[in-house]
Amino acid sequence: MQPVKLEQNSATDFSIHWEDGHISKYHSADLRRACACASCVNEWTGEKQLDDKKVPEDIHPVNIRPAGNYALHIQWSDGHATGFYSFEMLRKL
Amino acid sequence: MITENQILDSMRHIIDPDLGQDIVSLGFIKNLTIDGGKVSFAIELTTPACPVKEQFKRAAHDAVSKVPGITDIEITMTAQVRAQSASTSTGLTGNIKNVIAIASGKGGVGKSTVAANLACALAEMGASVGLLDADIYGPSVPTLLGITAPKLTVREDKKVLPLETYNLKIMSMGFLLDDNSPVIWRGPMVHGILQQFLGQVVWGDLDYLLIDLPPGTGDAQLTITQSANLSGAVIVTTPQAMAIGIAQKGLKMFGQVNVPILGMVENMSHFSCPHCHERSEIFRHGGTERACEQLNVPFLGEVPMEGAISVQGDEGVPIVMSDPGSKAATAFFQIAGSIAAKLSTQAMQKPQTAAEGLSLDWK
Repeated sequence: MQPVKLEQNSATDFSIHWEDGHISKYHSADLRRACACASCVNEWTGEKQLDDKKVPEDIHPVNIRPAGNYALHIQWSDGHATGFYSFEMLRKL
Repeated sequence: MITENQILDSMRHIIDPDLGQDIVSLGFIKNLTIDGGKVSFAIELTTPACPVKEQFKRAAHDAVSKVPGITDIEITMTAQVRAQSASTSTGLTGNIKNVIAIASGKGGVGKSTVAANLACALAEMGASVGLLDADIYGPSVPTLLGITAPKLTVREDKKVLPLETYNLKIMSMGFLLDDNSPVIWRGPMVHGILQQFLGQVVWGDLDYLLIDLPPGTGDAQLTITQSANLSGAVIVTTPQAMAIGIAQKGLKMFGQVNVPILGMVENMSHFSCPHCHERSEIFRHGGTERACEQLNVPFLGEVPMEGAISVQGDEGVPIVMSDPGSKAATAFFQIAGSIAAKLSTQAMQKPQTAAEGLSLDWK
């Protein structure tokens, strides 16, 4: 499933429009907490390294860019920029 | 009076085998002019490397000549390659219509030789082609294309212009790394240098950009699939079961990052003796084709082992250029044609997602 459009909904929320017409809404702090990058999740054990409480509730993306054909790359307002969010994961969330 | 419709209707039975529609409905017929009994038009294909170009021309000529009153027919063959990649999102600089990764599971299967020959074949067929050698560990494209002392032009904005030879635009990690550069790279360094490299080259307008990947499925491959919007990947393998087994890992990797597999190429398929022209199956025959059937990916073709491929490669002349009539060169032309046809089909079936829609600057 491919996304076709991104839309900012508020100071902290945005949505993805998918090719089948479905729209997914995301709260930035939830998405930041779900980051699956190597510094947020231990690559060997799968154990979460990120402390959810340290993610501010008002966090938001600085920008979002497509990464290849399969993911979005989000640069967050807390400076974190190593997370790729695959379309598959975004659709499931 | 001959009408436009008469001419067009006469050609409606000519079906493009890849796109599955007739050439009139596909809008391939351009600039149709009728002057008494004289008719002239162009057939605009979706790639200059179309494998059935000559058949189309003949079929169109035969069809139109049956229209009553025709005295003269002039057909021009042109091509307009359809874009898969929105240039802004390819992560690359230039207006590049299709980005193709040439990959292999393991080293030593002749991936770079295949990449160089396919690039030359596409260019020979009239496409504008670039070749990016992204093999950071063992860049071999400079040798294969005879570039010994590259002189790069670096612009004021730090962007680099590719070199041009055999009608190709070429850039290689080998141009940037001198012999004293480290060959041991940690993951983050691989990522950094490749990203910088990908963004720095000014390609201009290209129908096809082939990227020669390092072998395997590691940091380098991942960085490229994340930074460049690939239209598809070609996996090169040799016939041994082990090589094919490892090639399947490459298939899986591309699957995970949503890059369509254009197909597999079997290199060093068999030995074609230059003296008696007999074919020796050095390795077990047909392994790649069987694997393709099982995995449900297209089998693009087999390239025989010919001494000349390697000798010419060492001397910097791809066999497609030095001996275009050889069995190996013929195989490369045929494979290049199928790749181009697959990309055309893909572009027609799945219009590109506007990458602009997937970029968002927070307000």
